[in-house]
Amino acid sequence: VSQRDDEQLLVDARRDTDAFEAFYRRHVATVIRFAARRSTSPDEVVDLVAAVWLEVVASIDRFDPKRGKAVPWILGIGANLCASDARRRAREREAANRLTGQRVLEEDEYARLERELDAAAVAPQILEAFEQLPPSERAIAELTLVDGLSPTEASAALGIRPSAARMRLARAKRKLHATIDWPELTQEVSP
Amino acid sequence: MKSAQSGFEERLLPILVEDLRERQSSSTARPRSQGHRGRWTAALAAAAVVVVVGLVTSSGPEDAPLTFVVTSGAMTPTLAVGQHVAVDPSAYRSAAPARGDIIAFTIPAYPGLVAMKRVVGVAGDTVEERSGNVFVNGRALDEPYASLDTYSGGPWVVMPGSVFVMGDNRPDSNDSRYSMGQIPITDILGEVLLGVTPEDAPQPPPPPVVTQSP
Repeated sequence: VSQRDDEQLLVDARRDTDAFEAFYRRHVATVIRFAARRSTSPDEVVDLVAAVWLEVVASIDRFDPKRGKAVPWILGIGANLCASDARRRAREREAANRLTGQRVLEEDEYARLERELDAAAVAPQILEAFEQLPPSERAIAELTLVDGLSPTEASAALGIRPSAARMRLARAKRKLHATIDWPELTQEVSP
Repeated sequence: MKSAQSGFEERLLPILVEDLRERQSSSTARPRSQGHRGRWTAALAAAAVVVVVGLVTSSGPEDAPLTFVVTSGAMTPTLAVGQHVAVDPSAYRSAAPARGDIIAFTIPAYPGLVAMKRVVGVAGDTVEERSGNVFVNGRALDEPYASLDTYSGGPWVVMPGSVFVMGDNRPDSNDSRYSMGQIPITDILGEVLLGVTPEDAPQPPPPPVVTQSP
């Protein structure tokens, strides 16, 4: 099998389940880390990972490689899902229902996810500060400051204009600054 | 990769593949992103109205902010009468409107008007107002941005595909509590960008478009 790039794989995945499977295996670990940074228990990680991928499949026709890369796109789907409590809850319920019967985590799997949580650990006061942000600012702030996307990637991921993203990010940083002492925040304030 | 060989990811994969197969068989020619298209139809309709009235020059590329002048006091103190505001038409392309967002939207009953209100409830929420205090899903909102009234109404359940909006100037706002009703997401033009002054937005000065809430 020749190595298709992520974007081609995700486009092909609309019609080709093998392409989807390849894409999924390549990036499920990234989504697990994304979820671990937003979760406090292994069960939460599982629910969120499942919810994000269900949403990815539901939106797969909308991926447009001209607008951005595939991985920021799936993280954007995740961030948008997290920004909407109702939608996230609905997706997680759906995921939990459909994984029923196979949902209990094996002990070693539990341990593995706990290691993911430890590795992803964000200080509780930082998480709390993010929680105070309005959802639209929180999504862009988390994608850039926590997940490490560039502001441009994050704006493409969220489907907003880069200038809108920069404004939201600047606003978010001002608010985060007011709550926590986080020196890194000052380093990359966009013009 | 290694971790994908075992664990819940493996159990999740067949569910996703099943969904994908279902999509493939049911939607070989589904138009992309219907909601998006609906919003653009609404945005174009609104733009067409202002162009006809001759108050706006061409509205530019698809992601350019729409600009308006506030003529109604229903959103004071957040939006002042006479204030120029920018609306981001791409804000809800992939994200749903969230509680607390201020949105601009059209009202089919008032062609040509653009209203701006705050989203208080999203689909599935239960909204209630008791003596001026607003409760969403049973939890009282802390609303430092609003000037409150003493109204009691609801509970209202927010319908799928809609949002429940209120003006920040509660005593003087027609909104989802009254005849305006819930706002279909397809009528939303975009998110009002607060704190966007002409210096922030790399735009020509806002044209004198007159908009007003009924």
